[in-house]
Amino acid sequence: MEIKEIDLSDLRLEDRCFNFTLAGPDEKFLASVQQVGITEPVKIKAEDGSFILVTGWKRVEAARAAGLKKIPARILPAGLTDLEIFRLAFFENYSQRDFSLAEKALLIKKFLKFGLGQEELIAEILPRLQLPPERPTIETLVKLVALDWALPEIHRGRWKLATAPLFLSFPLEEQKLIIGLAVAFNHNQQAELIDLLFTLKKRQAKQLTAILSEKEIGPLVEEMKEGKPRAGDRLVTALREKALPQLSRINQEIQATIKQINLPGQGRLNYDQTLEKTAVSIYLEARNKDQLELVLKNLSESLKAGEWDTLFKILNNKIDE
Amino acid sequence: MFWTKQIKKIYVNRQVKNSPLVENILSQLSPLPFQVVNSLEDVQSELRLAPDPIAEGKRTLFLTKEKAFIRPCPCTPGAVGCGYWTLDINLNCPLDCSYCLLQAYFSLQPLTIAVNRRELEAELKTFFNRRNNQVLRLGTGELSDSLAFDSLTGQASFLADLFRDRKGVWLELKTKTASVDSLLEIAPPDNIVVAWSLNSRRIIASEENGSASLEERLKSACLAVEYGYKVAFHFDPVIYYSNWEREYEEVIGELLDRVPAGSIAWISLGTLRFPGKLKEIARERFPQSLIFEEEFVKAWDGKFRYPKPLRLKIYKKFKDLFQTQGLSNRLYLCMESPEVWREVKETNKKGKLLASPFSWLN
Repeated sequence: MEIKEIDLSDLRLEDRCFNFTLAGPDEKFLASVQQVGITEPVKIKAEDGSFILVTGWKRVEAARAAGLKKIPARILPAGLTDLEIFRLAFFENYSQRDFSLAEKALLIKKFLKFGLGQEELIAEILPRLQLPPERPTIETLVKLVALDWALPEIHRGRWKLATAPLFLSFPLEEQKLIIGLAVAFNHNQQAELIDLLFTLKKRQAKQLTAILSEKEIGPLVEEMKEGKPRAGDRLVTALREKALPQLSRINQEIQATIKQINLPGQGRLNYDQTLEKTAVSIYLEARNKDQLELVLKNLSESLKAGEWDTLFKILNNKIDE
Repeated sequence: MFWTKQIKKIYVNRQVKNSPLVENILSQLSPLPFQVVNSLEDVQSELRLAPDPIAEGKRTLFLTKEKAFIRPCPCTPGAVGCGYWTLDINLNCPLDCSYCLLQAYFSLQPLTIAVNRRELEAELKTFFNRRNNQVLRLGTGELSDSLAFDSLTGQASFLADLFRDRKGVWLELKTKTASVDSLLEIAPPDNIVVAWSLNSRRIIASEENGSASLEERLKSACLAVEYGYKVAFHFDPVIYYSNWEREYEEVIGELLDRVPAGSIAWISLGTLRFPGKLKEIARERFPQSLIFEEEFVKAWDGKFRYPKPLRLKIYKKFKDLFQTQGLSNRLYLCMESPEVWREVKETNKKGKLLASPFSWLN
């Protein structure tokens, strides 16, 4: 392959047919390019007197940010089909990094566009993307990639495949609402947010706007819009409490009871919040025998109050009894 | 039979293409064409291309051979096991229950029937000889429905002959069908237990696609009892919904009205539980189902279950209902923690001692 210095202005960057990279260059890479320029040539396809970028989108973005005019490039041999070129772009990236779900969706769309058959896609590409090698995977990702406006957030939120069908089950207006909310969450919270909204919507048979306007939820959505710190955490907690009402109620009762138990010193009491185990564990601190004696005596004293009975009654409790 | 009519494609493993049983099955399914393949992978590569590979698997029959058939039931880590052995001759099930774990357990599995009966017979005889004088419970209904393909394979009567007169060795044929015809054509062995999974009418209608109705199941159970078989019932999964208490009470009432208590070998209880993967699959395959949107905790074994207080309430309700007929001692819990067992059984027994509800089988 021929290597030459090309003018950045000769690249038709608006033609993104071979691009499936959603992340830009990070600060370290920008700084490196600022210092030493582009050392690894990008790959380009010559067409009609200009060039289409095949691989090296981050490098080109960094070069532009650094004010470079020229970069090294390998010109791909004429006669390669677009599918062959795209396969080359895929495998060059495949060996170097993991792809997000949004990037995988872009890859699937483009492989199909360049003429790769579903059978080959299933047998050859999906296993390499660590996706279930079957047709429903392709169908889900093709639907997802059609929502191009949502891809940056899906990429940032590092969605897993399991979240995609839930998200796709919402109508467009609700999908937009979810993406609007998701911006404020980290990736684990995004998955949980969508799962909770899916459950509540299905259980209550209500529109999402109605669920998000309920009295326990609405003010938290407003707080999020206002950018209040930790509003997202509070919203997920409130949605969790709505989705798990019995468990939340019992846990609240337990925590209120624990607060009333006067544990000595720096004592702590832990219990299984899933309520599967009845036993509690108690953490006590003592730095010498006398302290230990005192702590145990205080603990023993605390047993005389009724809170311990209440606590174990709740932990052994039966609903409605 | 409905289940054989739903078969659209047949694959035969090259290694068994000359088996008389294969010839027999193919002639029953004639004129459906069949294809000889080298391995399961050849079938799976076709299933992968289907819009719903799980549904396609239920329309695809694969006749093959298996290396081994008997396995200790894996139960679930941390739960009290009941010492059951699974006899896996058929893999995958033609019924399509929304909650069925096989959807997540198998990946791209056609309806698979192992036809190498000589090896099956040899393995069973070795198994019996090595465990002489032990009470053993084996069943074919873990990875499939025991009777759904019986009209095609005659498997139940084949197994009945192998188990007949083996004292202390129990074979359970577990089903959600009403296909007991072949069992009514043979003299009933004392140690064959025909078992039905039961659920409320609402759950059968909404979640157990392709299964027999409650009436049909109870009618078949009565027929089996009249003919001389022992029977068993599995309320698994019990599903929590707004009217669960009344609707399950109705089922138990009808069961106890119609089936004599003395013919019931055992009754198992298990509430809905599932790994996260099953929820993902079921939400897509059964969008109308609401059962996965209830309140669950991720329990000690990583599976989602109703919170323990609710499970206890459900088990105690069932126990009370069976107590009226003196049957509560024949109840056992499937895949439950020692804590829940102790609470339900009101005992301080430990470990495997908890799961010894079968003393009357000795």
